Amino acid sequence: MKRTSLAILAALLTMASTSFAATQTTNASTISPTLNISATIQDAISLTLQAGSLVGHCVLTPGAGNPDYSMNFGTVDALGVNAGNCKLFAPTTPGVTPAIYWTDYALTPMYTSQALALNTVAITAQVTTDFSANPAEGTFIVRDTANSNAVPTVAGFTKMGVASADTIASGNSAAIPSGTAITRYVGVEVTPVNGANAITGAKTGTVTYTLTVN
Amino acid sequence: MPQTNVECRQRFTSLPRAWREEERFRLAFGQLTKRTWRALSLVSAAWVLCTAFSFSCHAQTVGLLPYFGPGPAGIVGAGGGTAYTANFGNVDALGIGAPAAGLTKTAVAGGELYQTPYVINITGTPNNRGTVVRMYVSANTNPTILQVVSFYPGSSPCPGSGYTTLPTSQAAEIDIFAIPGVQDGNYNACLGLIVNLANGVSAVAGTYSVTVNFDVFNYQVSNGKLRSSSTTTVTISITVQTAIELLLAQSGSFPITATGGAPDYTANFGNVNALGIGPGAGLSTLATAGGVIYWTPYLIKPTFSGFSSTTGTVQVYVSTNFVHPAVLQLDDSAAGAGPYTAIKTTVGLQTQITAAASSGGGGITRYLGLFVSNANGAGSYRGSDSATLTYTLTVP
Repeated sequence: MKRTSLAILAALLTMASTSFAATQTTNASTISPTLNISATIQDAISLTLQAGSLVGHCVLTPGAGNPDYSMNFGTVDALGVNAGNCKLFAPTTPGVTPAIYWTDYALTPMYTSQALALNTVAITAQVTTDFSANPAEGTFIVRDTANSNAVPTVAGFTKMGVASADTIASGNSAAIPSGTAITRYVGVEVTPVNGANAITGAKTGTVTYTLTVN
Repeated sequence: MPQTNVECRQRFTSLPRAWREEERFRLAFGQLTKRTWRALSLVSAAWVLCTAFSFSCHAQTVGLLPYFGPGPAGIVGAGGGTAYTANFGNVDALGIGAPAAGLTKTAVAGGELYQTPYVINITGTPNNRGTVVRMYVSANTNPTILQVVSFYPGSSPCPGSGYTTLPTSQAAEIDIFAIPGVQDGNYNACLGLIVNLANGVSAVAGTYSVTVNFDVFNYQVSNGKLRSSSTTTVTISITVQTAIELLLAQSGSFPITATGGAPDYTANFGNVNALGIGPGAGLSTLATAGGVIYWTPYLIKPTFSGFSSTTGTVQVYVSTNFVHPAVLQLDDSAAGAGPYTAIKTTVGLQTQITAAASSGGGGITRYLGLFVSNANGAGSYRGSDSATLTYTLTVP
């Protein structure tokens, strides 16, 4: 009996608290319509690239789609005769060691509405379209070996992974906070090659960067 | 039941013919009772005895009756003789309230039309004559708010358009039965009052009245003479109430949907994220500290009538907040690019949209923003949430 009475009272309270606004009325001086707003929040991540800050850095041009960005190193050669469009490490031993045309650039990871306060963040880079399928032609996309913001030396570059992605930044969200730019280095290594494998002319390669947050 | 009065004047043969043939017409509303018929019979007998004198008597009656044809009945008139009254009850310029029994209402440009069918009853039209009836408004206690219109021939229900505005002077009165006039019978017509959308000191809601005059004539085709007979009036009382309305509408392509219930409107921002990636149709994004604002223009449309003030105040507040107010927040701005400010969340301290809202027009364009926080971890939320805004229009 007591349980039934309580149930009825609860229902009445619910009914009394229900209000029905309207958009129009007569014989009154106020009207109060209501608007219900709804939304579904989703988590989100993004990775954007920006041009570097060093003098002589490459221009980074945003694209409308595929590719998302483009960077033109200009005219290059294995002896470092051409200045190119960016920065240049001339060959240590011309004709033997390669010339490296390079630039700094920035990557900005962003991640929001993630469940964890401390996330694991990783950025990888992989050459998904190489200058040539024949490595003997001696022209490669390279990255800074240290994967840091320190300016590398001529010996501080490593060929960027083609068969698999290279990790160029990793850590937790404290080390790689959302919205904070990371400086890295990318370049084109031109090895002295003569003969059948020597190549000239315009070449295009594509690097795919991947941000993973979990 | 209305009464018919008949008068005849006897003249000696020595008097001018015109005098002997003088006729007196009187208008009255209604039907003949048995008593009246008996009286007429006695008078007729007296006429037979007075054969030495030549005279003739003709009586015309014009009455306003409740509509008796198919369809809804019209307003029931009261009174009799040459004066009738009717009551249109409560009306308003937005047609919000239900009309009184016998009335129908139609929205018209600038107000609301309340109309009723009625019958004009004509009896006693003399031989070789036709009855001409003309109408005008002889009194209107608030011409700012009220306008009298007429439709003939009427129908049931009365039409919602095609009415003629009645003039307000006898000199400009208009025909309802034009020359050469009509014969005895019942003629269906419609009478209406337009309640104008108006505010200000001359348009304050209240009880008013209008008087419509029906001037009756008889027309003689043989000599083209139109003779004035009498006048019947109907005085309509009406109580104009204040009307107030506040509507919301989409301004761009983002839908704001009227529900017809509670809440009155809904708006779904769809999937949102703190990076502003992929806003839904009609939404734009604006990066801001701590997240992103999804925003859209929309319209706030106030309309009011019958108030002494010509402006009102529009306010808004979050009457039911999001479950996750740290993640989602409703903002308001006068411009799409901002700045956006959080809409207040207490009824006693609301966000003011404007203190000078005028009635009608295209409405007030405002910008509604939904802030999404970019917080991660414990302060984050993924999923659906909702809130309710309550808008208030106040007209002093």
